[in-house]
Amino acid sequence: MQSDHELIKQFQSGNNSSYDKLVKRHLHSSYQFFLKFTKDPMDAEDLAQDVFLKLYKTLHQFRFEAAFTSYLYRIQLNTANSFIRKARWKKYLHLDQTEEPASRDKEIENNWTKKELWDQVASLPKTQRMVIIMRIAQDLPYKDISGILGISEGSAKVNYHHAINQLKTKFNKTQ
Amino acid sequence: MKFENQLKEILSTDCNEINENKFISEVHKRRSNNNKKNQQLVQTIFAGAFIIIFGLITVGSLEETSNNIDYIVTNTDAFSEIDTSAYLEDMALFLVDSDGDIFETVEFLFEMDLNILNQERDI
Repeated sequence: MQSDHELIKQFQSGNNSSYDKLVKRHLHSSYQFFLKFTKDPMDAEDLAQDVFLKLYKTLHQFRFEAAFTSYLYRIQLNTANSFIRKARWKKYLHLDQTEEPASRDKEIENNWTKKELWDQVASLPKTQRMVIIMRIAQDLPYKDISGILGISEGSAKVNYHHAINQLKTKFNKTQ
Repeated sequence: MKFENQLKEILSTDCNEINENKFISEVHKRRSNNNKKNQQLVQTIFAGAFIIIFGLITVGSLEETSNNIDYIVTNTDAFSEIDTSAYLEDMALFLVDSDGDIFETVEFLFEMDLNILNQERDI
């Protein structure tokens, strides 16, 4: 089986089917990642498509200095980040069509919904937001997070704990 | 339950499957649509720039044309430069020959000359 780097080299030399192979290989993880942000599988599919479109545009400039997955995580992270920021703006401008609290499921009465969680995450500072997305949505180790964000492992941990504490405070306030 | 686990539980999803081939064809379709849109945008920008440049050139040339018209209208010296003396001499000879009365002819020419002078003054 060809490695990611081999497929990218083939793509850079003009073989478009290598790109398709690369998409097939990473599609499911990307799709599952975006399912964590949205209730609607169609939205998750759109976001995953955005990622692979960006990948197609930028893959010619890939320099093989890091693992392809780190590169892909970075694109996913930026896409997720802009998605939750847009969702937050929509909430401010009342453009979203969220269901009334009274109609919520009993199971999630003592919990946040996905949307509420990401609205709270969107209010965090950028680095904390990025770290929390990678930790809770992708389950990435701190080492990988520090590599993707270009910060130290210690800084990634500190940012994560600050973010968790802030979310916990907001969560307790809503109870 | 730890708060982190609680958050992860909120995000837990039913493992939805996705059709790979359909997804890839959608990506390529969107890519070609984006390319078309970009081309259209570039063409629109070029067309807009062309119209603006063409408009500016047209306005510039219209201004030049109106200057020429002003020049022709204001340049009245051209009228006085037309030599009519030979024509008047011929006409005087003809009138003297045909009418026979030299004084009437002189009076007529004198009036005519005055008219020409008045016209020049008006202009």
